[in-house]
Amino acid sequence: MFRYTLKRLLSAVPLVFIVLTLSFFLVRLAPGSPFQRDAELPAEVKASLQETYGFDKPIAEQYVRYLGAAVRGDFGHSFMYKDKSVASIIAEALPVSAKIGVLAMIFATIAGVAVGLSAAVRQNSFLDHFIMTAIMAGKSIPPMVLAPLFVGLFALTLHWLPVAGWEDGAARNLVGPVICLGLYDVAAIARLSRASLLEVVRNRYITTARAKGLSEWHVIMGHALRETLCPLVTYLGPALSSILIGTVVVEQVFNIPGLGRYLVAAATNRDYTLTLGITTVACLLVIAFNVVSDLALAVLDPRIRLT
Amino acid sequence: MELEFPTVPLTSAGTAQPHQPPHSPHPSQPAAPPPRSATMEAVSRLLENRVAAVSLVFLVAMVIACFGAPLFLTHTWDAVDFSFEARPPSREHWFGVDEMGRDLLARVLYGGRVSLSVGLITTLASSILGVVYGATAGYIGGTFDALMMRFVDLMYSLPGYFLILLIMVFFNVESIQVLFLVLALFQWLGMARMVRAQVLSLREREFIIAVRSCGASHTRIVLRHLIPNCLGVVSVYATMTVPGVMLQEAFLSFIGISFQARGSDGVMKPVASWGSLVSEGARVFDTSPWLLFFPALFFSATLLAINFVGDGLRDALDPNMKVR
Repeated sequence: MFRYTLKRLLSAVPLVFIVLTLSFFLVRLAPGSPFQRDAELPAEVKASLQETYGFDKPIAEQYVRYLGAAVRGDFGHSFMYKDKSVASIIAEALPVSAKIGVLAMIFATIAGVAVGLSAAVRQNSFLDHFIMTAIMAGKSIPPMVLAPLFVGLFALTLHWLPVAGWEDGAARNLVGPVICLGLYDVAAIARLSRASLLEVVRNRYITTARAKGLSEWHVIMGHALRETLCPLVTYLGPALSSILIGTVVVEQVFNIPGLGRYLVAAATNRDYTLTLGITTVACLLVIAFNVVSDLALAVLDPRIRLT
Repeated sequence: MELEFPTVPLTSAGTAQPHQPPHSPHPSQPAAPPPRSATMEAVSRLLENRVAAVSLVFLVAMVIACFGAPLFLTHTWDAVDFSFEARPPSREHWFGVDEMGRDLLARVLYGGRVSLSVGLITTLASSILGVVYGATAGYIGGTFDALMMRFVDLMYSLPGYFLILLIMVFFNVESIQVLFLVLALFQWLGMARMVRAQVLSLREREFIIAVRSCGASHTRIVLRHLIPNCLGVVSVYATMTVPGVMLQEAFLSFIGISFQARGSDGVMKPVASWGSLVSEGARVFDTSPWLLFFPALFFSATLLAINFVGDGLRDALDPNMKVR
């Protein structure tokens, strides 16, 4: 296990390197300078900006400097929020996004598995068909459609929940974002766990368990569940990535001060340093999610460690 | 010379299956209906699936409505009036009017053009790339194959969504053609993997050996015999790709990346897609909900229909793959 963990961690290093390199050259190749504004900057201001960001140095030196700075987590200053560094914005916003993200993941897993299993145990019943159709609908309603409709129904019409806001993560402010964020993955997880359980119950040991006279509940919960959940672990990485993408939308709609809202603000205002900083962090997170999901799978399935 | 192998239909249901699908006619049985091609079999199975058939009709109608919009619409998507007030649906404007005085029905249909063409063109481009790449890797095999697939693995682990966003922001991309290209560049990987796996198993089969013994060139084997045999899975996979691509474009629109097109007065102006209409609608949802409702309805209904067709296609082409 130790060897596998080491190997998997090391294999992520080139990816991190590639992401940093790609982002550096994308920014440098882009037409125009980030300092290009409608009004021409005074020469002194331009010179001082050039010096701060090192744009007057040869490109190789800039590249090495950038890599060094990125490793230290230093992405320079935001253009929009002039008094803040990109790193401090990220440090402030990341825990907020993480809170919604983790809660959404937990919601998606529990709800998804529950829905998927209840469909599978009554295969081809009305409930099963209903759930399968609902899953399809869930896959077709992206957060950007769902979130505003959710606000319209539960906040503007029924007045059960606040329209938007954060208030340091008060529970009533969390309900909407977490549900809107998690619903897509509820559908995906339900589909996977349904298919997985239907596969698992064909095993002989399930027949044995039934032959012993166990109740269906004990057969599923005591014997089939563990194996059913294994394929779900492979979906962990993609699920976390899709939640990361979803936070961008959901934070915008619910006005939550997380990474996603800053990303939208930065991209629309062409705040180059902040956009670069947040996308780099997001990329690194996606790579980390994939490593974590691979390691989790290796814990559950020892055969994987040997490859 | 073309050899006929009646038991191995060249446009078969894609995957190499030793067993005949349950519905397929067996030529040796006297009572069986006249043999039809595997493609015809699949099409009839698809149409027997009621949900998939209805979805397919819906999609065709949607495409006709969006691309034929100028033929029957009385309003253009960019005609502005200066009342500066959003108005709810009326007899004059079926879907209402946005705060710039633009007719929403026209905007939704023209937006559908953008969203649908992003979905279709990107998928087409990425599928061609993926099929060619995957078939080449699978057919050549060996170290070359291993190298080619290492590259795919590498690209696959890169976080595409955010790299695309970075490209769009920093290059200030405003032309939609560039978007097709950028999206396709990150989309072909899954297709390449799948086609390679197919080709690896197909190239060892008897009909390929037979074709080779007839002296067919490598290009001919790949283009005429291997790729056509993959088309079943390719079409399923491609259909499943379309919604993802459309969502990706919607995500980019939501972030505020807009594209330019020539308006009816010849001036370049930002063009709407379903994604951008939804995000605009979301902003004014409390005062004028219809601006969100109609684009959201069109967008989600189309995604749902594509998903249903994809599922139906998968079941029709490969009965063994059907989720039990």
